[in-house]
Amino acid sequence: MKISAESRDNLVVLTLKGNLLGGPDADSFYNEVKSFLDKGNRQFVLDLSNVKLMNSSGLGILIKALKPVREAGGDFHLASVTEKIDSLFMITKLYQVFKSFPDVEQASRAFE
Amino acid sequence: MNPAGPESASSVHYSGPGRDVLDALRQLVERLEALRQQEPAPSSQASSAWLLHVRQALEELDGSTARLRDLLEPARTLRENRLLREIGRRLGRDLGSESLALLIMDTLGGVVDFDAAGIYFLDPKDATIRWESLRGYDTDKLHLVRQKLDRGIMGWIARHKESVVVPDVRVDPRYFNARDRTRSELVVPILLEDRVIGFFNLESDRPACYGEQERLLMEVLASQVAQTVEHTLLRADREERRRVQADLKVARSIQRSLLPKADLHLHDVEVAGLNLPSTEVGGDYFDHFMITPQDIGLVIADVAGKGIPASLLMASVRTGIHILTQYRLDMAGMLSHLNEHLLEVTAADSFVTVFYGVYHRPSRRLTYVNAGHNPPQLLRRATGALESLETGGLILGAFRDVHYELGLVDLEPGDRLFFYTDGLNETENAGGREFGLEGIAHALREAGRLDARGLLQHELAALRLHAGLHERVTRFPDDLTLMALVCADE
Repeated sequence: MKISAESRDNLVVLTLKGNLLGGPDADSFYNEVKSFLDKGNRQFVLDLSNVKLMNSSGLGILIKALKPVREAGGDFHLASVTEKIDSLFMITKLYQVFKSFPDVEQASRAFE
Repeated sequence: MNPAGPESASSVHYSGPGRDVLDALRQLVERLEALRQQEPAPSSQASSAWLLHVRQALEELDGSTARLRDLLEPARTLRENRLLREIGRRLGRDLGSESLALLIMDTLGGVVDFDAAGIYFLDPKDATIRWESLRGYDTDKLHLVRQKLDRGIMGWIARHKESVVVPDVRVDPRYFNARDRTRSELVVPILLEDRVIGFFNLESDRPACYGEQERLLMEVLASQVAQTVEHTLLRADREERRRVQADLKVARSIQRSLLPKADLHLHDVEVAGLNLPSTEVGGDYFDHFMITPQDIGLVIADVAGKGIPASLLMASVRTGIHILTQYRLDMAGMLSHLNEHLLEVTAADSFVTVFYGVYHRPSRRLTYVNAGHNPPQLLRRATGALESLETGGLILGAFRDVHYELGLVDLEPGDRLFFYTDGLNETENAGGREFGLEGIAHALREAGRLDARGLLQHELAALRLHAGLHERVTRFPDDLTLMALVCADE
């Protein structure tokens, strides 16, 4: 999995590419989020349009990173969740926790 | 034999190769001795001329000793080769690294000069000395010898991972004095891959005792020792793996004992389940048990992740459910309790999905909570329709203060309820297509009137067909757990 980040003002757009299946990805994603938190960012948009596969360990990665964001008073918005990953969020009922938007633009605007 | 007799050492005449060098050396020593006796007062007029003579004599001495060293070289190479051969021979006999180090210490004297020597092995955990063998140090200074590890040249090597030759320890700031007489030193790291696992340290009372040749020899010896250490580690690793494998077998049998011993066969309903971990132990779990003679508890759960961590959490889920069932809490409250309990024991990136239901036999009503688990599929006999049992709430063990909703469904005679974990729907074929809900539904309908156990076997056969696996394969890429409840026909 590859992470690229773009930040403007308080908002950080994290774009994930590849598969989110746990393993070494877990730390790199968490550390990325933590480093932005340390810089004072609180609003995160997670662009999932290029994530092909995700399993329960991949969900675990997102859940773990959400915790410090919420504790700092911030939030995660999901953007462009593909159909396959959408069903994973549906089954686990994680949409009760993660807000999801059709694209990055709308996910960003929702913070305003 | 010299006619002058053995009482006078200087009169013994050597007549082998290098005699001329020895004679030159003897003359030089005599010249220096004479110069010493003629030493003028410092800064007098004579003193600069005298110093010039001394310098000349010393330069000639250097040249002669170098020639002598060249002459002695073949003999020394022979001794080095013998030492290396002996080490090679002992390595073949499975000698431990410490014994090999001792052997090197004992035989090194014939090849390299030293007045004190040490060999140290470091503890990989904290880089303190795990084992050492010392020669030539004063016993009351041993505590200083050990300090060399952090403060001396060894400390420098630990960071730079290369050998150090110190011709004069008095002018090298890295030298840490644990022995006053030492003038030169050679320290060579014992390297395993890129890690310093120990040191050879030689000290001499003579200045400039060590050069390139000694350094190379000691590096060869150090690499021999490193090889032995590697062999020992590999052997220990193999044994450890065997032990873990044996432990895992025990863990697997414990985990099996946590699952129902047999299918449930009642006149009005039957329940069967199967659990196939992808490794020795897994994080999936199913359960069916009589809460009262009328009520059957039904559980299927999946811990995120695999292997031992998942299996430990699974045991905790089972215990939680069984204890909470006894308290007769309402089901939604029970799941909230279980969630809070699991929050305490799960890692930040772990969670559990659980479907918990109670089937009331007289009314054929299933009351349930689905906490983020793949929804069980209810196949209606009358219509052939499929229903997903989704009501409930969030996954367990990830968030605080979660509330659950209760689901209700009334079953009819001949209805069949199929539970599964994501190892079933997520198994891909060679083309990367998942078995999916379609595969599950298709096999469910295809199973026709098979009993609960037969239904499970049929789903499994369909999965194998999809994934192109042999019919006897029982290990799938992910943990796989299936359970079926079949209502008897009227």
